[in-house]
Amino acid sequence: MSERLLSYGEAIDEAIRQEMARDPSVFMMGEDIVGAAGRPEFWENLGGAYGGNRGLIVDFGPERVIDMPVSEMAFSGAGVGAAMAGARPIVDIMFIDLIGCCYDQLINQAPKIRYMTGGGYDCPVVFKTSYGGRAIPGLPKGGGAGVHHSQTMYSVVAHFPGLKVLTPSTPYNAKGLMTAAIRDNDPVMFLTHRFLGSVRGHVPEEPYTVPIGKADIAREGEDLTMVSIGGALPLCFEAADTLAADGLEAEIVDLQTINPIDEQTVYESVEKTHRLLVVDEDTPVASIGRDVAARVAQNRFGYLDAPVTSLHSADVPVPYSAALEEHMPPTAEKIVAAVNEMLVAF
Amino acid sequence: MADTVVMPRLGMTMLEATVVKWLRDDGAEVQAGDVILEVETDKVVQEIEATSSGRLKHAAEVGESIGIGRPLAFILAEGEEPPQTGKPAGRATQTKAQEPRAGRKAAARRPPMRATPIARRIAAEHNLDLESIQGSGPGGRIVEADVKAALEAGAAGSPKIKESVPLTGVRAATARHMQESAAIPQVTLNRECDAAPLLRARESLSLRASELGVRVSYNAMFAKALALALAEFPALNSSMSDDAIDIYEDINIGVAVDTDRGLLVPVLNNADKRSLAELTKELQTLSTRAADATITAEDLSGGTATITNLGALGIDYFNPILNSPESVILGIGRIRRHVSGAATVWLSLTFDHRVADGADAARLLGHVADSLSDPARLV
Amino acid sequence: MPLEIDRDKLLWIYRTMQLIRRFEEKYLELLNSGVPFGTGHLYIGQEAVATGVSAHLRTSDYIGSNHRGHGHCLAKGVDPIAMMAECYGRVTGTNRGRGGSMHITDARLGVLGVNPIIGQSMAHCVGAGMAINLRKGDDVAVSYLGDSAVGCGVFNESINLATIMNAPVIFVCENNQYAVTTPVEYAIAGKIIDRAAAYGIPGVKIDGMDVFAVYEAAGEAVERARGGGGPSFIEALTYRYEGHWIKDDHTKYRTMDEVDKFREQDPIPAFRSRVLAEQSLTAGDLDGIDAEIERLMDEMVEFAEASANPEADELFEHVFAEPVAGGQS
Repeated sequence: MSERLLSYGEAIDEAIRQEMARDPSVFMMGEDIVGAAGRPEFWENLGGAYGGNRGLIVDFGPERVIDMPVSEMAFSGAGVGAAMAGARPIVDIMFIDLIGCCYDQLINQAPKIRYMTGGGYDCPVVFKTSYGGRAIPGLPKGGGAGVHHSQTMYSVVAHFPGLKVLTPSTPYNAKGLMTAAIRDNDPVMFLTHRFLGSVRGHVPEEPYTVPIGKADIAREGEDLTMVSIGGALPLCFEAADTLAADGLEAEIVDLQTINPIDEQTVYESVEKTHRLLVVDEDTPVASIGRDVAARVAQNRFGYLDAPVTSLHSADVPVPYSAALEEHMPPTAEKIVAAVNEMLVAF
Repeated sequence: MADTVVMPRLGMTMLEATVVKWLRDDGAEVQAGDVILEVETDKVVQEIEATSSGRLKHAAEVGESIGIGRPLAFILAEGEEPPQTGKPAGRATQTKAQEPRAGRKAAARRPPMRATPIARRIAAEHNLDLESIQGSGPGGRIVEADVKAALEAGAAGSPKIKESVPLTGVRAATARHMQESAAIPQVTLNRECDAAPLLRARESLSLRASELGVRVSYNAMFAKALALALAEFPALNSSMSDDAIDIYEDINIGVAVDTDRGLLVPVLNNADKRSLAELTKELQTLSTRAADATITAEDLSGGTATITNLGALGIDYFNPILNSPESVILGIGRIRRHVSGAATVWLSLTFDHRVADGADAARLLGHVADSLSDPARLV
Repeated sequence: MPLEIDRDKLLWIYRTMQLIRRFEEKYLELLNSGVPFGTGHLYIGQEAVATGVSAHLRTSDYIGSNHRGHGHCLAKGVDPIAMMAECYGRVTGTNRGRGGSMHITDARLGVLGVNPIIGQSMAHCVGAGMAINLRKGDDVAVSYLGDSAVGCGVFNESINLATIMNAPVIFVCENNQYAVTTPVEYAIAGKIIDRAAAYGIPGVKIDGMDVFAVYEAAGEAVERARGGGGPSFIEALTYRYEGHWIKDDHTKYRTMDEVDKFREQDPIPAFRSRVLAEQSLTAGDLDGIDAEIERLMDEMVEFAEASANPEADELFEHVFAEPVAGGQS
């Protein structure tokens, strides 16, 4: 196997290209995914808000790489309709903050198609969007993108049975999960963390899938289970290194899919470590992090040696000023502090 | 509708019984009245019959304990499926219904104990009392490490368990029974008696064995002696109930018998009114059946007092514990022949002090001793 | 003007309108006799629209519908027996009892679904149109919307997107003049039909009570879409004779005079008298169809009554295509 390094963004782009080459029913639509729509002379310069799709249109043509007007409701609905009519659309919604504009399609339409038709229709649409602050290159620590371009908020789409929600955390699982998402016959939300785009890692060249609905043991340990969601993974690794220096070995379970949750893997880890900390960059109320904590408290009570704990972003809208924003999300230091607190909490 | 063969009630104190053996295979065609399996209570092995005709479907496995009224088997018509509520539900309900109720009460009375769930779990698995452990966690909370340390420390001083034998059948019943008895305020009176007349009487009765049809046994004589004493002092032929002392009309003497399956107590009914020869014959029959497990629930129930004789095992005297709910039990030691030619035996009478006082019991024991010194009264 | 519609098509039109009418009347009758239908929105009065449009559709074409969708589905060919079973919540229904009146679908007939979130199915039809273009097909998608959808954001987004994508979509706005109790003149600014011009697509306003008018307008729009000419917009002025839904007393917000005025234009007797006058069909032809539909109605109710409810263990089926590795509690 080659030890080829790709960035998280490049890995996702490669998955999309490979699947488009493999299956002519795959197409992609979204705002500015080409750029300068209808003006081919500029296409070499552009390609997606983060440049991830550069040259895609050159390879696959304007019939399959389609720029959208600012109409999230219409084109996410068109994604559902096209999926029902036999295509495999990838719908790019630039920021998760924009899903309010198309929420009906994400919660009332796509997740329910198969169930309410008694299995009559497949709905193989992928909604790809991005979340998380701290993301804009060139800016200091905080993201500075402000309240409407920095949110995490994946918990609000993970609530709906029928919609698979993925939170890739590394270039490797990003490519494998995107490939799996495109091939899946159900609607999938594919959530990329804005901060991870340039993170590099080993990615095999050939197409492969990472199973949807399966968590990954990212690091083994005996003393504590850290459940990590999406962009929390690098923070968990950093914290685990610090804790290891104190002789506390954390096991990191990267959920990878936040609906449906692979609770079995979480349980098995907690049965071993007897302590749980969930690190979730979303705000805490009605969140996935607390959902995982509740499941463990309810179903593995007898294995616990410390209070189940979850760490989240502060329960506030994302502030603009970096001086404020840097205090909002979980950090490695906060994780270490949460672990220490958990071990002494009443 | 499938017919369900359920666990019958085989005795007043019975809660469950264990499946010993299936006599008909799963799936066999059976007729109403066919014996299909054997179950063992703490006292007896009982055959269970098919209640109707059809295809047999086992609902319990050999070795499994089944509560009264729970399904043992289904008898199905052609093409019929057994009902869904089968044995797993039965097992669960039976045990769950019994234990947590008491557990909740106990929990409510207990002061709050600071221990983590895993600490509690491990302590429970090892029968370790959390009260004895000092917690090292926040606020003195007992954590997993404390329990493990306590187990390790304990392991150094306490014997290593080679094998853990589950409590079932007669052993379980005896355990439960003795636990119940321990709650009774009981007193034991000891008295050394002259046994020479008894020896002589037995020798002369032995000479008449062919005439009587049996060699009269000492136990029959002790049973009769106790029965006659109770006839004289009926207040101790009784049981303590919630708010009364129930005095029995009949005097039925249980005789403790040691068997491979454990301690069984077959009953000699109306022992005060029957001859020693009759009592001896019945005791022999019952002992044989107790040993080969063919004894019935009826043989083992209805006792009003008990004798227990450890003389044959070389015991001089001992402290018998009441066979609850009876009010008296007579313990008999070995008959000692002295160099002088005299013979003595220790009698130990344990009685329920709620029912009677020491003097009453002493008079009862005196009566027994008198009978033994004048065995003609027994014949 | 003699009709230029062949005999088979005329018979189909009559049969379809009458089937829709009788299905809906039967639905109401069953409801009144105590059948516990979840809900339902009756299409009585609007039969000419779905019939005139569907007369030009084939099996591989798509339709997207709204809450008042029974007529759209029947005209597209959905089996009335399975549809009624669905309304009863039976496992033999079009959706195995998971959809009900407001979610009738049929994947074999391109029925993307009755869909009660106003306007959202317009976007599905645009997507179906894009999928048709992607596979270079000549199918079309018909998006049925009511007058209230014109006020939704998705109306603008969908028609705009269909237009710039040149998607083969026919937007059929059935203006039945009420959104529940709210009259169209209160809720919708300007003239509905003027919207078509704003997007630069062909638009026509027609009498939706006249099946021949619908047939003609839909014919042009469907032909244009099949030929790569992109979307069209049709506003069909029509009327529902009953309340918004099966238990709505519509006399609380409109006069019976108004209802009667539209009933006088009822498309079914109008069709009957015209084809008889022009001697395109005979009374025997039409009476035969009526009798056949009556038999079908009896069979339909009998089947629905006799059908089984879904088993409780089906509850967890069809959430996903396949069970997911992790599993759920």
